[in-house]
Amino acid sequence: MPLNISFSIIKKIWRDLTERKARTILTIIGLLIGLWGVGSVLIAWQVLDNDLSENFTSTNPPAIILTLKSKPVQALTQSKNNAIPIKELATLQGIATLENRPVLTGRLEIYQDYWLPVVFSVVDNFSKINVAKIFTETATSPPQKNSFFIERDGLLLANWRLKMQVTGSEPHKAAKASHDSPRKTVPNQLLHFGDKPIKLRLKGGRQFNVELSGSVHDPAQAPSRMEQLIYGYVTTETAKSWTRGELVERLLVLPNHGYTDATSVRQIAVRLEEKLNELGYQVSKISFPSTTEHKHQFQMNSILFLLTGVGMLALLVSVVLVLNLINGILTSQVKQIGILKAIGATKFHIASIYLGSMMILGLIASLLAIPLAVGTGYVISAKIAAFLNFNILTTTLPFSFLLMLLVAGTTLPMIAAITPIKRWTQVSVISALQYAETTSSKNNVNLPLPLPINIVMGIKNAFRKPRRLLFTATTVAIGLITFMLAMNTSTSLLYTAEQEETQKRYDLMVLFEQPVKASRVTWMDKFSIVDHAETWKIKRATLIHSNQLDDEIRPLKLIPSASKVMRPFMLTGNWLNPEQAGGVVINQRISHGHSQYKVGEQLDVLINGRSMKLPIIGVMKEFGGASIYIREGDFLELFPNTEQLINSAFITLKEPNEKNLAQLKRLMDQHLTLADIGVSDMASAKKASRIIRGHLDVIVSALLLLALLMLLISTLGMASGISTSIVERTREIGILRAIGGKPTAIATILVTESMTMAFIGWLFALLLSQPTSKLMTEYFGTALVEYPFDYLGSSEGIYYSLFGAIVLVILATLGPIVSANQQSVQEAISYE
Amino acid sequence: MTTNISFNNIEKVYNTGAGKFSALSPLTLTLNAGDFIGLIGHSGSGKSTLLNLLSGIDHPSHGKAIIAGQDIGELSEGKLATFRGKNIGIVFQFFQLVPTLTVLENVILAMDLVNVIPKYSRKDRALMLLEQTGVKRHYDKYPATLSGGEQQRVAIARALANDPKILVADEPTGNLDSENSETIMSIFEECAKAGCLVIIATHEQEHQARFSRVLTLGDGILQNDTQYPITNTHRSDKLLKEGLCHAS
Repeated sequence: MPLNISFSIIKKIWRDLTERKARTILTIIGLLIGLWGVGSVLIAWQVLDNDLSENFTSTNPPAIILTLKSKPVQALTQSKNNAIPIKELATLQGIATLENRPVLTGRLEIYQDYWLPVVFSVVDNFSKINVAKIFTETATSPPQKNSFFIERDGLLLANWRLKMQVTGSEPHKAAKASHDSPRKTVPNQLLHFGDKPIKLRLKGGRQFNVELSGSVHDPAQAPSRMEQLIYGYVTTETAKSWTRGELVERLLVLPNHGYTDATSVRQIAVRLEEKLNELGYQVSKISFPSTTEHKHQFQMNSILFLLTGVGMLALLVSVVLVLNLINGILTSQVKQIGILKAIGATKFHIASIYLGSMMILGLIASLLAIPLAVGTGYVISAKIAAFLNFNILTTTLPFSFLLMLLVAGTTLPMIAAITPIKRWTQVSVISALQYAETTSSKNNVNLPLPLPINIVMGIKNAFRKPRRLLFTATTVAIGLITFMLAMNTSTSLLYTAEQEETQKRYDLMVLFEQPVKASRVTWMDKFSIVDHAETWKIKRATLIHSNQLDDEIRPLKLIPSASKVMRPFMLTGNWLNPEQAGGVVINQRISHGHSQYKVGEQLDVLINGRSMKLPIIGVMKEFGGASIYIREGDFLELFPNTEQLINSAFITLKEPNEKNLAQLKRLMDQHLTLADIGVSDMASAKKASRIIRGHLDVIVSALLLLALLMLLISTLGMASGISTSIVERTREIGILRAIGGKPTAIATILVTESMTMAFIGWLFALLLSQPTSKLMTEYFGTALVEYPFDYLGSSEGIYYSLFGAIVLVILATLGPIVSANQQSVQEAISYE
Repeated sequence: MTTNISFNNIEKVYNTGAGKFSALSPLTLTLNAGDFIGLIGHSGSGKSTLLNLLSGIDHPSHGKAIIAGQDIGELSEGKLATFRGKNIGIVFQFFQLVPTLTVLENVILAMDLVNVIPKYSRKDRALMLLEQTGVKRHYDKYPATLSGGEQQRVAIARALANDPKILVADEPTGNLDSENSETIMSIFEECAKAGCLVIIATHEQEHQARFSRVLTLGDGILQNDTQYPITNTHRSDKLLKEGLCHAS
């Protein structure tokens, strides 16, 4: 039989919804919030997924990077011009573009005695970059001699401000606009930070005063704030003046057939290497960087995945609200359903009435939620884009996408309500006509407690309808779980930062540019403020997987027997000890992703050109890059003729504080300069914890905002549940009032009922929040910094959440109590 | 005479916690068009059970029920609902109008569900039925604003909306005063005279004289089946002329 939606049915649908406006509005608001939450994240995903990829691919990332060892002998003798024959190499088969982009490493003085590492890319022709493109933001090309452009994220890392006048957005104020948008700048004015040039120290100890002449955007790079590293860009002339012509050449290659054919790319690399060898150049390293995915695609996906999860939770609570509403409507209209069926309505007619109601709710909520979601989605996108240092390029969303959101939002409550609607449409006429809501004695709670009767009644009422109790407690629980999650995550992040600091029992770490004899730095522990100093050797190791060499070289850290600076947290196994001679300890960066790297297994490595298998005795938790630890003595047994040079030092202060640390850094700087020992990095032990804390605000702010959202929906859910309960018991409440019940007595019963449901919800939340928070904090850490954060529950979270539950009850119950007392006794008693 | 309802060995048995309970013992019955039948019995006599079976809203546990030529046991719930809408008008004791629809809309709803009366004439037909039941002036009001008698008259108009062959009413005057009761019973009587099979369940003795046939039930058994000669009231000719029950 074809479905017959008549005007009278449409009118019934509309009037059923408008009869109890408060409940309908509550449900629409609940749905709206859920749809808004999920919609925002979906829109952010739509924008970011496209834009991150576009930002990245717009740089024309190289498919191959070849790093050369040294100048060829023939080249030196044959020609004064030692430039690599780029044009000749570019004609090789398969190569679309080839550019030389050497790099220089050094340190910049950010402010007095505070240095940050810097990597300069040397650009031959700033106006003709075709591979690994950068986009000038606040300068005209190229940078003048002895000056550099800075990647814009480095400005935030260094907390610098460019003094050049610009129109258009400053970096990160709004990460908008494509690189094609014209920017007006004042013609090249050199800048000074604090009116002074910036000190630059290069490898080898040479120091210069340089100037900052502009900022660029390099979306292919990992953001400076994450890497704690500044990216700079200089001309060849400037680079040669700094390095006296000694540049490490680096060839970037774009294949002419695109990126997809990995085999062809490798063949190009082989051809190019052969050609270079012919020309007398030696290749020290070939790498095949990702050309399709940004380095932090995973991070972005993780953040969005997390936000989607929370959005889904909000939507789930909204669905529970809808279920509450439809159950309330259906149980109050059972007899009506029976009558309609008696006078000729089929179950399709009945279903269409109630599905129609749900569709209208969904449509109204969606029409309101989608514009909000678009706004919020762009805000989220801008924040994440700023975090990952790329520009938002998508300015309009496809109509089909918005339509899909509208359809999904409209049909969601219909889908949610299908089960209860189906149940009630299938009820027989006779059952429906004879239906009476009776309170089964099996749901009664026996409470032999000396409590006032009002409170006993309230508690018993909460258990009268187990399904409604479950729904309401669940909505409360979800809101409180999110709140506790925010509190627990905040506590855990702080705890992780503290734990990280306690693992590192030193105050300052120094990495030397070149290995030096230990005797040259014996003065380190002679400073009055120093308690202990020790030196390490760090070798290089390459992991072997399935008989193939890994692309990355890992540091192999040789720990002195009497080392005092490491107290690592072991995930499995033991730290280095004499009883397990020859064993190595790896950190979680190495063990993740390689299931064969666990305690008891062998670590397959290549050290000093020799492949060997070393037993893994422990896996430690460590913030930072992948590392392998071995006892120095064990290493010497494996390589007895190794020269005893050290390349790192660890220093502990007698009284660790910022003042002493600053003084130590100055002393080290001065003495190492005098000793002509180049330093590639000098970092306090708090560097890692600073990075962790740096993520704290963003994560916790986002979570707290979401928690408030969830608590709002929970309040709506509770209010809806209570108001439905009151309507169903209108006659009962009327009778209570008729036999002497004062408004305060009625209020006490209702508040007790709500408190009972909220308390049960709080208990659910308490039980579930701990394991959920633990999983979430580990996930955050792994997703953001590849280091699972340590979990510590927040005791304040427990108290605040209980307080929150009480506030929630008061807010949710206020309206229903007032309306229950407003109706006259006579109206209430005759209510059907 | 055209047979409208034929029950052959109908029985209704309920399974309760205390075992099987026979609400209606095996019963064979034939009811004809134009009969004005009263179902009389005390509470628990089985009269509501029989009425539910007669109106097709319940199924017999045993036996065959043929209503308006259709064996209702062969029909699915959906088809039975449509069959009821087309052939049987039901009036309930507590009116059971849809509270969120106006009086007029309640009557039109019955026609909308079944789709027998053409769309363009539904409103006019509904207004006519309301006029004939004396409640036309309340057509745009909601049921809650009407008195009990007025609501019952609207319910009758709704029951007649699709021009049914059978009209069934369960204690239609149970909640009404005597004046309204008389009016309602007169309306039913006229429908019977117009050729409808009208079955009324009632415990009110004063209405028995109106019926052409009285079925007396007790403890689920048909104790008495008495036929009476048809008498015209002073109103019947007037209403017949106006064509109360067959107005299409």
